[in-house]
Amino acid sequence: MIYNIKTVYDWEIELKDGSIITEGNKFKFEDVIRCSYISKLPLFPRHDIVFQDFKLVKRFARAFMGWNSIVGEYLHCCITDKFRIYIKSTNGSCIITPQYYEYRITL
Amino acid sequence: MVAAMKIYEMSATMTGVDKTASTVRFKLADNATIDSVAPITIPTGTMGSKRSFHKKLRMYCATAPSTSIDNLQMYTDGASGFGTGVSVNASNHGKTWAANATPALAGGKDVFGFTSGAALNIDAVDAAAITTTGYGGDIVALQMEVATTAGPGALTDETLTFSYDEI
Repeated sequence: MIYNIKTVYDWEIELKDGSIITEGNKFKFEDVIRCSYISKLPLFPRHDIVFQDFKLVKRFARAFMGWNSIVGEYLHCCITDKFRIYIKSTNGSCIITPQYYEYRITL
Repeated sequence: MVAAMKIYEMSATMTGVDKTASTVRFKLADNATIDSVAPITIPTGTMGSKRSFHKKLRMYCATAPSTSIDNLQMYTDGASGFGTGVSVNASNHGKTWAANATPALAGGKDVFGFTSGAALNIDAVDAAAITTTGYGGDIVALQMEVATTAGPGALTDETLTFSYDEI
């Protein structure tokens, strides 16, 4: 089966009341206790971010495409008040950066 | 739902042409066709340089995001593979399309000066986050300039990188 690079990873956020969010951002960020990125590909790792001494600031995905409109990389990003985590959809690796670091890939 | 963004080339009309799985060719004609017609001629003697018609590109949202898309950027790898005597300028054209022509691009800067660390911001004018289908962000205007020192023949392809953030 061929996967769309933008859907290789699903994400879910768990709030302190136990509810699970899988879409949008209409929830209280201060209530987040876990943010997980779950791969559909068995060879790619699952990434779990457990919020203890830091807080969620923003969650988004960053797409990179050429002028042929083909997405060559799709980064999931979780920004906390202490650091950022970027997860690559092309190989499942993760990169931890300072809070304000903007990671960009050149195709 | 995960959004689907595309690059459209706005030649001849502001309607634009979907460039999915295609490319962009600089030429002495105002169309988006990839062919060998109307090549840019190499000037001779004291003629200075020859400029292509402007190329205008804009992001198009084909499938709306679940929340929004913003932070639109465009950049290169910083190294031109076009060779001696060939340059490409780029500028943010705002959100209002204007007919393409061959005069020097207003506000144009070397496209290879836009890199991942210093990208061209393409949601500076049309700054609203994209939430529905249709065009979004600013128009990128490009123009190739060929000097007397350029060599003949087709050039090696170069890639522009477009990025956007999706919630």
